[in-house]
Amino acid sequence: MAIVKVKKVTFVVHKSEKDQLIDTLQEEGIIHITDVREDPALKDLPEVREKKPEIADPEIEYRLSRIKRAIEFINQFDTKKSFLETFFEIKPEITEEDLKRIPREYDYEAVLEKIEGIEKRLGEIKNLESAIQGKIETLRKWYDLDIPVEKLGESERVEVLAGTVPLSHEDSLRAIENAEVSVVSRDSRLTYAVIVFLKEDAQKVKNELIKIGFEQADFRGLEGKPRELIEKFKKELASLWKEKDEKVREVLKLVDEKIRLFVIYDYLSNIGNKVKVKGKGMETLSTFLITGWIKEKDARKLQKIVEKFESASYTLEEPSPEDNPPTFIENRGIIKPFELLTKLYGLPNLREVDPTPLLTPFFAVFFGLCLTDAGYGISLILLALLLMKKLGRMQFLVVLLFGGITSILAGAITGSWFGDLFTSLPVPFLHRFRNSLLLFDPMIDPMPFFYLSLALGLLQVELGLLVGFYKRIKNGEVIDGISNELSWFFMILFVIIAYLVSSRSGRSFGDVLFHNGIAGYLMAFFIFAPVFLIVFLSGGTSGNFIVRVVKGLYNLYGVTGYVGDLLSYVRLMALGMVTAGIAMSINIVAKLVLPVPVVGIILAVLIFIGGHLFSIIINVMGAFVHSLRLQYVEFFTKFYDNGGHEFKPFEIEGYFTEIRK
Amino acid sequence: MSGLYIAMIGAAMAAFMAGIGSAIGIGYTGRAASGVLSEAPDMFGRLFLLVALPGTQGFYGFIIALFIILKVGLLGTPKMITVAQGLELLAAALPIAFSGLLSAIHQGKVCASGIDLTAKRPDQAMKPVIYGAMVETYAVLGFLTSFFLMINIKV
Repeated sequence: MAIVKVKKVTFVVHKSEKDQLIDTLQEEGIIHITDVREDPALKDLPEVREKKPEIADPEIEYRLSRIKRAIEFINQFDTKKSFLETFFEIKPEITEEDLKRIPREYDYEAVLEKIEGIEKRLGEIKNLESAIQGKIETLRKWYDLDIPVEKLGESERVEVLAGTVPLSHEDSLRAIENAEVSVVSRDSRLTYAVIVFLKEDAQKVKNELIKIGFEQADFRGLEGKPRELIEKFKKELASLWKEKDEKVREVLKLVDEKIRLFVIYDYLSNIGNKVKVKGKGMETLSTFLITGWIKEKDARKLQKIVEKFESASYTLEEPSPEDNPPTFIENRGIIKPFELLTKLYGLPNLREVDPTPLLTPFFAVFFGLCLTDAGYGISLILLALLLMKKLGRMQFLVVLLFGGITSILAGAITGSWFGDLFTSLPVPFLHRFRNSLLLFDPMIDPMPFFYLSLALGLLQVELGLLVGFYKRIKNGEVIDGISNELSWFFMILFVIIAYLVSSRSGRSFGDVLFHNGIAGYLMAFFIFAPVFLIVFLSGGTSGNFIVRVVKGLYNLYGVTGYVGDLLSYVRLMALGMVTAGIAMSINIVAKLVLPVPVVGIILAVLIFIGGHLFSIIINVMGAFVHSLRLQYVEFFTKFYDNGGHEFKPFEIEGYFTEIRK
Repeated sequence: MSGLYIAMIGAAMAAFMAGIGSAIGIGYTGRAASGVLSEAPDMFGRLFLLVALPGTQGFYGFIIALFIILKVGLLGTPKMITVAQGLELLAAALPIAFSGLLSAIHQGKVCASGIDLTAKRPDQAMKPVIYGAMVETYAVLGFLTSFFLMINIKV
């Protein structure tokens, strides 16, 4: 359980066996490789400092980017993606055998070229299409022009111009002397017209035209009457569209190649990884050295690895204080899936405690209380099992499964089965069943729920403080631990106890502490001694006394933070009540439509199922987010610092596929 | 004069003000998410939580409205409500009405920037959700206040 111990391992081989060593390390997949340039013991060696930052193999990277692009391109046409895949990443499973076999047998170069060809052609078609559509758009304005466009311009005696003027200048256009104007069409802004004039008047007419904003139409490269041209272009468009359809059909045939491209990608990226890892090592004249981290329990495999080589040797060391070893957390059984929540926040560093086993029971219980509905709990379990069947045992789904179980418990003790369904149905058995499990009904008296939430909060905050204290002791900060975490622990605990005693007995708070014999003085001691410790010691043990006390007083002010933390747990109750309220309103609406003749019952059932499904989704979301928040904000702040980085062994890994070993 | 009107105003305010807040909040997140999806269509599932988070306030308001409606018997035969009782119910509706309205809008802004963050660093999708939940705390407190005020009003 908890954080796995790692040791630093350094391999040295003769240069000639370098590639072989890297191959073996990747196959074994037990070592987290580090860069020699980041190693505190090695980074100042001249060989390391002068080492060029080795980059990945450009040839492989180029191919990888081509394959990725091709896969992304095919993906646009893959309509088989299920709705589930938009929420969960589903990788196809392959074996290591596939990873070796498929690259040998499969001519991916040809497929890539085919896909790239299609992609290129589709791009060209798109450009051509918009160019032609633009041309058709302009020619449409000249539809009624009955002259082939190449005939426009100068002839022996006359000049013919086609062009536009702003609509408001149409009258001025017609008023130009010595020119024949015929308007072809108009749109909201422009008048499209043909102007004919004698060559000897050209200069004068053109000057007039410029004044009224005449713009000559551009028919360069075109031949024929506009209406014939439009026909011609439309035919071209049609043939482009036909080609596009063909190309799309070709792509659709290639969609099934996707999985093989996945395999090729992963095959190449694993080769690429080897190159990158090699760059992390260091070469001397005749040897190659590479460092990394290994889990303590894997250390015995090292001997077997080096035995395969003629020249290899390794050394194993404990991490030194300058090292920054990677973290691997390992938990068993039902706690394992909850590692997901720890990883979401950030892994612990090696000097930390693994918070996973601590947060597991709290998260599960909080989730259940936020949902507080046995019906929803059952539905959630079914949903999680169904998804697991399709997607495999994802950690997230297992967490939901446990959340479902606690929701059933929370729902049963508060009498919530799909809201108030069991009490609103006229079935006496359901009433009896509900009431037999009922502990308290928050719809009638919500206060037990309120106290339960606060009590759980108190438990978690106090546990957090104890763990924080334990951590201080472990790191040798005994005084800090006593004057912070331990002081708060006792102060909060005994304030609550004294408050409970005073509210039970009806006596005032001061009365309970100071006129209550030895028990009262004991309580007072555990409340005021911590205050004293916090004020005088939590500010540190060295430096100016006044500054220390001011710091201590400021720390004492943190009491508001603890009050806030405890009250924050009341959200458990609030979310539980919201679930009950939404569920109840769905039942009410379903009941309201019941008297509708004929379709009433169908409508009611539809509203019931659809409404509760929707309610489950939004309430599960809320339950997950808020239970998580309580761990991160209220619990972790008492003891936990993340800042570890993940132990990621150098191994054969799948980017697009799940490689089964 | 009957206090029923006043109680109804309370129920209406709880529902519509918190509802407006959620609508505006999801307005922010929905737009931000659509912007991201135009570049990365695969992010839909990952962004879902951030988009939907400001929607809860509307429900908190709706629940309080529903409890008031049930309390004054509007779904069956309305009870006799005095003006004082009506005012009490109205007062009970106010915490969630205002905290819902304003927190949902701000939560929407927080989540929208969380969506930007997720777009750039998809592995960080859960952290902005926690920030969103921090804003929501105050809507939860508003809901609780409304709830406790409401259940203790004798009708």
